[in-house]
Amino acid sequence: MSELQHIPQGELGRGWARFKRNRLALGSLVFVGLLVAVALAAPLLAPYSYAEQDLTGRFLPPLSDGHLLGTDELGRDVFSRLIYSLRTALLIGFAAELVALAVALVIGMWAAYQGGRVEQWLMGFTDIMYAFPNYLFAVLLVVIMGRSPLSIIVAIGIASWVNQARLIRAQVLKIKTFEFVEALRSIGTSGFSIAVRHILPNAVGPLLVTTSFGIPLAIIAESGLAILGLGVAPPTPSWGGMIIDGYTYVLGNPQLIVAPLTLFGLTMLAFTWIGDGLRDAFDTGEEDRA
Amino acid sequence: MSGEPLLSVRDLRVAFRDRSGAMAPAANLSVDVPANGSLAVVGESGSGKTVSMRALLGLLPATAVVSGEAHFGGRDLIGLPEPELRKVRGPGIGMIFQNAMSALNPTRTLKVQLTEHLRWHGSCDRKTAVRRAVEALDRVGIPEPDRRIRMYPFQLSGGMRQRAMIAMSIVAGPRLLIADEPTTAVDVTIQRQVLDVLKQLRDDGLAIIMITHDLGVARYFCDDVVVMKDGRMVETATMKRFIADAREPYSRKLLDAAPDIDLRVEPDQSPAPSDRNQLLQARDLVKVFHGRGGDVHAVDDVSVTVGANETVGVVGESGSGKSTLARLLMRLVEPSSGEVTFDGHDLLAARRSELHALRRRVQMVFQNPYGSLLPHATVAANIVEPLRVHHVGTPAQRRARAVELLELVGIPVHRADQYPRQFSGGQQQRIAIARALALEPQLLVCDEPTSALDVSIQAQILDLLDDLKHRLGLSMLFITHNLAVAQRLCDRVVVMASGHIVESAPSSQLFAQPQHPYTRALLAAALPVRSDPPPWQPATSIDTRSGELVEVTPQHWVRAATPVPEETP
Repeated sequence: MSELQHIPQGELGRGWARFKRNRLALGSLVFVGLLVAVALAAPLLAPYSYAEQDLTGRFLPPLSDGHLLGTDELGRDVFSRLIYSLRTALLIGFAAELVALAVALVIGMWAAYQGGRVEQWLMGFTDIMYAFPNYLFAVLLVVIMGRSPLSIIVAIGIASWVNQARLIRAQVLKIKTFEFVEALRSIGTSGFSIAVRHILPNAVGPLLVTTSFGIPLAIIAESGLAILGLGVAPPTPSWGGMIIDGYTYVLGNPQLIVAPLTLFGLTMLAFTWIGDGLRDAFDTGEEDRA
Repeated sequence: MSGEPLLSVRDLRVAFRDRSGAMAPAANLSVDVPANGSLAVVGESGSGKTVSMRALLGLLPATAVVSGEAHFGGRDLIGLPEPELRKVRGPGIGMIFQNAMSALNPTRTLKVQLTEHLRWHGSCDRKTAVRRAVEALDRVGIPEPDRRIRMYPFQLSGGMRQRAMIAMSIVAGPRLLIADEPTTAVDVTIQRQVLDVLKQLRDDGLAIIMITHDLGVARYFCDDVVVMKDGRMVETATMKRFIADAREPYSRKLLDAAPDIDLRVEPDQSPAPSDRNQLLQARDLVKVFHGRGGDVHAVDDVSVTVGANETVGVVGESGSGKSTLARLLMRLVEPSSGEVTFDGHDLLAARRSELHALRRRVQMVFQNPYGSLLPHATVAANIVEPLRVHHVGTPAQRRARAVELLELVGIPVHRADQYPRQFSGGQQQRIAIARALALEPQLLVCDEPTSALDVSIQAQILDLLDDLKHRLGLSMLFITHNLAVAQRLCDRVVVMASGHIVESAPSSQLFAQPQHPYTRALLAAALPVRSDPPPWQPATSIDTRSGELVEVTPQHWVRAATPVPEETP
């Protein structure tokens, strides 16, 4: 027992201890942390403004004259735009996932804990939403609400909560059968308190995992919208926008899409590895109970 | 014990390697089993009894490191390559597992499962294999074996399933059977049947090693005994000498902790005062579960009362409805009909706020302590939870109360901020009891609180409950399948079967003068440690449903099996 006491025994603490042992996942987390820092410090780090045009210096090659990654078709500094595009990507990724998670939590937990008619209605609604192609739905919402970052966040969030709601419902249904829930009822704990204070903490592992997979999906969704011309309004840079703009000139100036694509790919990879690490770190805890 | 032993184990050591490469020793054993012998390997959970037996057959995970010698049939099993070992498993040594339902494959018929390894070993063709399988089923006493062999495991009753698994282990004709707690998961009456099947196999010449934690089973079945503790052998002896004169203190502790039913008690001269203040009264409770297979009457027309300061035991086998009854009384499950009153308040008609107030006064202790404690909260937080829910005291006062309760149940207070999983099963149940006591309830409903625990721990928990009962003036409703436990703790015992009350009497009377055939069968099936088992004949089906409860002597109610079955219109 004595050496056990040094190991944190809270649900999150134990997960974190296991997560840390996974080098790839830890490295990815550091990388994402770095990206967040860069995005926050964008005005300090970017040598130029993302919108500053120089029509005399279009299509400058990388490493030329103070432009680390060259300039684009309007003579804007690609490096600066890349740094600012991180802001768009991460803001939309995190915020849209947060919206999706909030909707999923309310619907999934309510349905599972309440059961009966309420569950039928809520899950029926979820199934209808599931039948919609989420992109189509997001496109529709953006067309209605406009291209501001906020409306894009809401659109992507509302279009992508369905899978998580189902997962949360499944988790709650499972945890609901554990004996401690019956013990809590016998004590007199209210249903809401059981759901929020006691069931939710036991579902925190799977929730973290889906969240970490949900963030890159939201970033992809934003890029998809941008490629359709429905992303954040220019001149605000976004990865999708940069890629689709650069695509026009890809034969002469491949660097215009290589830079955003590389960053895009690395970010996706990092989130996926974090998700894998979280899954490994939390799944073992599930096995203990069975 | 003449000549060469069938199995000779010398200095068998098993250790498990953990992630960092450190070795944790799990077992160290040296025993001999003569041909046609029977050895009991006895010990509490974690003593290494299963691990050491599995090591013999090479059934441990790759992290296990096994050394030593185990001679069987002229060969050393330890270090034998897997293909060679596979030839020993089955034709040489058979294994029986605790839980037949999970040891049998639910998706295949008995025929496939009983014949497949015969075919693998190439010992016979299809036809012979089927014939031998039918013979094996016949040998373990399954009626109509040639018809039943086409069935799936779920189509068999619990006792049949256990037999089918035994048949599976003997079909290849082994000379030694290793039975790992073969009766732990079954009811007493079935336990006796299963053991008698195994006894017959012994008469036919098999040797059997029985892993068990139940000394009654060991005494009934085995000639020799090995006691294990923490992976070490504590004592080896013949069963006779062991029961009469165990040398080691640990062995004596085990023997002392084993609860036996005392059938010789004189009926109490002065029956308990009948004018007790009735605390809990349930009348005509019915619970019907509507399932796909039709309606199940889990609890049928049951009335019980628990008086102030009284401990009432509800005894029954699995499926008797005793746990459902507890949940109906707690209103964790809504009854189909009937009424429950607690201290004059109608529990079933109570609105939310009234029910909330009543919950303070009735608390419950569950069977599985780890499952019923909050896994995400510390021990202190677990105990504080009921106080928080009922808005008792300030956070500091609640904490102080939690510490006080931990002291009461004997948990070191400095461990208050650890999590339930860091405690042993017995400690977890103590914590669960502390939580149930936090609100100073008047009635404690205990649902098999000791059946997930080792015998010596069980004795401690029973002592604790007994002590608390007297110190706090608690009333208790105690659900158990173990008659001996009920006798130790309860003033009055209610026997349930198939959802009905069969008999109800003050403890002293029930055990001295059981009236209903079912109660007698239950008492007769129990295997005592200190005395010879009572005579027993395989139970013919006992009618537990028909008839009315009749008061034969004051407070002694028996369901009178109606002599003439009347046609119901």
